Amino acid sequence: MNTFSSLTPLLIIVAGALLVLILEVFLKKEKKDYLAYISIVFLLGSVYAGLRFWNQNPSYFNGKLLLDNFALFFIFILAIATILVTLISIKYIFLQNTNHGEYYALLLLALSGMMIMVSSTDFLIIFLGLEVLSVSSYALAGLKREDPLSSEAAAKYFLLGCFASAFIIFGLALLYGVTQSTDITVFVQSFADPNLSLLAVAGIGLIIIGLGFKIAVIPFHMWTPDVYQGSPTPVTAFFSVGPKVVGFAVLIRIFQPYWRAAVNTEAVFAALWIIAVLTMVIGNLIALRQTNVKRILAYSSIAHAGYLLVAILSRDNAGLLFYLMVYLFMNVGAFSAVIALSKKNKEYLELDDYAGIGFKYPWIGATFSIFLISLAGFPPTGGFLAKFYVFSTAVREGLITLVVIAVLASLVSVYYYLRIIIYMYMKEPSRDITIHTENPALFFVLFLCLYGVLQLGIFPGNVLVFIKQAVASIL
Amino acid sequence: MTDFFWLIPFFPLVSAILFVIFGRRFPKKYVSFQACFAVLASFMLAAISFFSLLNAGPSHSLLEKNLFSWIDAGSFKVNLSFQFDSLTAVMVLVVSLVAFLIHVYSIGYMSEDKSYTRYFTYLNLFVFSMLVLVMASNLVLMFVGWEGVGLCSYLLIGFWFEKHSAANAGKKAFIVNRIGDAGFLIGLLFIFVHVGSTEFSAINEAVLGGVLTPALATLIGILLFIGATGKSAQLPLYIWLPDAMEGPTPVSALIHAATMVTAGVYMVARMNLLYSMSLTASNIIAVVGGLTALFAATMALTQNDIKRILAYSTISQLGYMFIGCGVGAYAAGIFHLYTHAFFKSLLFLAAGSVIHALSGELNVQKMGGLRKYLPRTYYPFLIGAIAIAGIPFFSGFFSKDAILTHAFAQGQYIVWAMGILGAVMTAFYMFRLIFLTFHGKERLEPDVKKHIHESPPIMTIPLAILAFFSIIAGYIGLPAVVGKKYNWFGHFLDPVILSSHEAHISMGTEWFLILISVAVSIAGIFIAYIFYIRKTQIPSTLVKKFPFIYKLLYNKYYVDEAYNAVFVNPMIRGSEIIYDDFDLKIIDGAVNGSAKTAAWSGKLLSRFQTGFLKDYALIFLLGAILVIGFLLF
Repeated sequence: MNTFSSLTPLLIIVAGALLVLILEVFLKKEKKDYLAYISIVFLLGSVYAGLRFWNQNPSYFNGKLLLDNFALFFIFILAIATILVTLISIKYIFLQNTNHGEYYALLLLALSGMMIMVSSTDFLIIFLGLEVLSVSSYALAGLKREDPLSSEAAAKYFLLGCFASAFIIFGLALLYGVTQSTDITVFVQSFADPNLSLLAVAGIGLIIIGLGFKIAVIPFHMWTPDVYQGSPTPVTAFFSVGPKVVGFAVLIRIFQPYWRAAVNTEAVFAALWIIAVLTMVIGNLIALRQTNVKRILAYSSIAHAGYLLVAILSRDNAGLLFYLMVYLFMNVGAFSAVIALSKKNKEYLELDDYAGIGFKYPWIGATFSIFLISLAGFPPTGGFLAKFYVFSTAVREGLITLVVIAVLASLVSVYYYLRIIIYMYMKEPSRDITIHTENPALFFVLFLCLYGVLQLGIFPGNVLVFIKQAVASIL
Repeated sequence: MTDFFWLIPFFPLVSAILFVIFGRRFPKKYVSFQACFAVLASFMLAAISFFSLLNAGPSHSLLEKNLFSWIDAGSFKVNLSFQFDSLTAVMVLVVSLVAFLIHVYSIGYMSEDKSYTRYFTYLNLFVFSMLVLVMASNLVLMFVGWEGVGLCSYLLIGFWFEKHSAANAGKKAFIVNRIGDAGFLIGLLFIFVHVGSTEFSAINEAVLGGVLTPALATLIGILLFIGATGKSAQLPLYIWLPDAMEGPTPVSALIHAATMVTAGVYMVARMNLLYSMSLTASNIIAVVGGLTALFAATMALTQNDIKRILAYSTISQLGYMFIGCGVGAYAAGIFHLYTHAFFKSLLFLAAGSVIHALSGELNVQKMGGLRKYLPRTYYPFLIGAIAIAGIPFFSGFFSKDAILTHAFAQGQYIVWAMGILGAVMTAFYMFRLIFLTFHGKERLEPDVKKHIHESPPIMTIPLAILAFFSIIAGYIGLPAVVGKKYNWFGHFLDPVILSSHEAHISMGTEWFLILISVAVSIAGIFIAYIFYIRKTQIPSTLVKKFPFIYKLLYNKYYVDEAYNAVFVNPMIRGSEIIYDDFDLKIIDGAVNGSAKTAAWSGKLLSRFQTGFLKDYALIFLLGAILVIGFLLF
C-alpha cells in the first residue's frame, strides 16, 4: 500500500518539533513546562497515527519508507521512551539550569531521526536518519552550558560520532560498489554468491563497526561513560535507550536476511561472538570499580549491549525485542531514580550520597532497588524473563559457551547492582542530603516504569503476541 | 477445599503486602497477630490438602492447578502452575508448621526491636517464596522461589545492618549463592532446550522416554547440583552459612536450619528420576555429601560461638541428606530433612533463648551451669541434642540410620564410613555444647549474671512443641528390621520417588549397622563427658600437644582466606587492571577541580593535545582494524 499517509507519524513529530521551537520564543522562562506538554501531545498523536497502520504495511517513496509492523513496534517503544524522558526532564532542566527551549525540540528531532532509521531498508535512508539523530544528540549532550563536563561530553560525542559515521559511509560505499544498490535486502542477497568480492565483506564489517559505536559495544564504547556522565541526566537516559534500540533494530534488519542468505557466515559470526564476549566481560568488570552512579549505569548499559548481541547471534528476534522493551523500562526507571535525587543546581551522583536513602525516601529507594534487581536479572521482574528468554534460545541454537560466559558475566554484575542497594539500605548516611521532592511527573514515570518492569515480568503474554506480529513482518 | 490448595503460599504474601503498604499504621500487637495468622492459615490449608490427598488413595496422588500461562512464545512456554503431591505435602507441612512456631517465638525474641514490622514483612515474604519453591510444578517457577528465598535470606541476615559484619555476611551469602544459581540456571536452560518444557512431569517423561542421553543427564544433574551446593551449603560453597548467623536467631532457625537450606535436597529428590539415570552424578552427590558431613563436623569441634557450632552442625546434617539422595535413598534423605527441621530449629531457638537470657552472649566459654537458671530452655535443648546425636527412640536416630544403612547396602562403604565418623563427632560436639553451656562451673561475666532470666512463655512454648516433635517425628518411618510395612513415611513418598532401587542386606547385617551407629553416638557423648565434666584439663592439653591441628580447625581450615586469595582478590585486581589500562579516566582531571579554574575551552583544547580523545579514537581504530582484519583473513 503506497500512501502518503504513511508519513503521518513522522510528520507529526517533525511538526511538533517546529512548533515547540516557534513557541519557545513567546514563552517566559518559567512557563516553558508547556513545551513539554505540547511535545507529549504530539508524541501521543504520532503513536496513535502509527498504531493505526498495524498489520497494514503502508509505504511511500517507492517503498523506501516502509511502516511494517517491525518499524511500528520500534516507533512505539521509541516514542514511549521519548515521552518518559520528556516527563523526567520537566523539573530537571529547570533545577539544573538547562531550561533552553530547544531542549524538547531536539528530543523530538532525535526521535524523528530514529523513526526514519527503523522504517527503511535502504541503507542510505537509514544513514540519513542516523545523522539526524546524531546531530540532535550532540547538541543535547552539551546543553548544560555552564558545566565543562557537559561541553566535553558533547565534543567527544561529536568527534567520535563523526568518526563512526565515516566508517558506516565507507562501508556503504564498498557495498554499493559491489552490488550497485544501497538496499539491505539486495546487498545481503549478494552474500549468497560464493565468489563474493572481499570488498563486500569489508563493507559489512565497517557497517557493523559504525553501528557498534551507537549501541556501545567494546571496543567502540570509549565514549559511553564520559558522555553518559557529562550529559544532563534525562539526556543520558535517552542515550542509553534510544540509540541502542535503533542500533539493534538496524542490526536485525541486516542480520535477519543475512544469516539465511549468506553462504559463509562464520567470519562475521565469530567477530560478533568475540565482540559480545568482550562487551559482557569487560563491561561488567569495569563497572565493579565505579563509584559514580551514572558511570555504573553507563557500564551496565554496555554490558547489556553484550547480552543483546547474544540474541543477534542466536537469531532470536522476538527475544531481542522483548529484551529491548524490558531494558527501556528498567533503564529509564533507574535513571529517573537518579534524577529524583537532585535539588537546585545539585545532583547526587556519588555512591556515598546514596547511603541511607532507602529509609529517608522510601519510594525512591524501593523503586530504584526494583530496577536494579531487574537489571541484575532477578525474578519476578522483566529483567529475569528477558535474560532467560534470550539465553534459552541461545542454548537451543547451540551457543553453549557463549551462554555460560553470559551467565557468569551477569553473575559479576549482581555485585555492583547490589552495591547500590546496600548503600541505600545498609549504610549510615555520611552526609546530609536534601532533595527537591515536588516532582509529580517524575514519580509518575517511576511508577510507570515499575509497572512496566513487573508487567513484563509477570504477565508478558499480550506483549509477546504484539512482538510476534512485529517479528513476523520482516520474515 | 482441595481445589484451593494453590492458595497456600498466598496468605503470607498478602500479609507481607499489607505490611508494606500499611505497616507503619499497624499497632505492634496486630502485626504479630497478622504475621502468625497468615502462616497458620497456610498450615491449616496444607493440612486439609494433605488429608484429602491421603484419603484419595494412590490413584489421585497429585493435585495440580495451572493459574495461567506465564510465558507463551512459540517453543518457549512456561506455566505459572502449582502442584501438591506427597513430597510437596511433606515439605509444605514442615515449612508452614516450623515457620508458624518460629513466628510465634519471634514475637517474644524481637519484642524490643525497633524494626518489628520490617522483620515480620521479610519473614512472611520468605515463607511465601519457600512455599512457591516447594509447590512449583516446573523448574522455572521453582527457580523464582529459589531466588526469592535467597533474597529474603539476604535481607534477614543483614537485618541488623548497623552491625558492619551483618551487612557483609548478607552480601557474602547473596554472592556465594549466585555462583550456585548460575550453575542451576545453566542446567535449567539445558533441560528447557532438550526436553522442551520444565514441568516436572514432562522431565520425567523425557527421562523415561529416553530423550535425554546418560551423558546429558549427568551434565544437567551436576549443574543442578551446583545450585544445590550453594543453597544447601555443601562443599565447596558452604562458606556463607556460618557467617549467616549474624542474623536474628529465629531467622537462623527458620531459614538457615529448617527450611531454605534444605531446598537443594528437595530439588535433588524432586529430580530423582533424572539422577537415577546418571550414576556419576549420583556418586558425586554422595561423595560431596559425605565429605561435607565429615568436614563440617570437624570444624564444629573447636568453635566457641554457640550459633556457629549449630551452623556447622547444620552443614554437616545437610551432608547426610545428600548422602541419602546420592545413594538412591531419596525417601531417607527427605525423612532426615523432616526430622532435622524439628530438632535443628529446636536447638537454634533454645540457643536463642540462652542468648536472650544472657543479654546477647554467644561464647560458650563464658557460660556454664545454666541448667538451674534456665530449666525450661535446658530440657528442650537436651532433647534436641539427643535427637541429633542419634540416640535410639529419638527422631534423628531413625532418619540418620536409614541413610547410613542404605549407603552401606549400596556398597558405598567409604561414604558410610565418613557418615559414621561424622556421627561420632556430632555426638561429641553437641554434648560439648551442652556441657559447656548448661553444666560445669559458671563462667559468666558478672554483669551478665545480674540480668539472667528465663525466657517468656511465648518463647518456651514453641520450644516444648518442637521438643515433642523431635521425639516422636521418627516413628512414622521405622527401620526395616522392625518390618517393612512400618516405614509409613517411605510408602507415602512412593508415588514421587520413581527410581527406588532396593538393595537387600540381611537382617543380621542391618542389626549390626544399627548397633555400630548407636555405639558411636554413645561413645561421642561419653568422650564429651570425660573432656568437659570429668577431666576438664584434657582439651587444653590436647591443644598444647597438637597446636597445628587445633589452629587449623579453629580457623576453619583457612578456607575463607584461601577463597579470598584465589578468587576474590584476583577478580578485583583484574578489574583494576582493566580499568586502569583500558578505561582512560578522562573525567578524573575535571572532577579534581582544576577544570573549574582554567577557562574550559583552553582546558578542552589541552585535553585534546594531551591525547585523551586521540586515545579513544585510536582504540576505536585498532578495534576496527582487528574486526576488518579478522573478517578478511
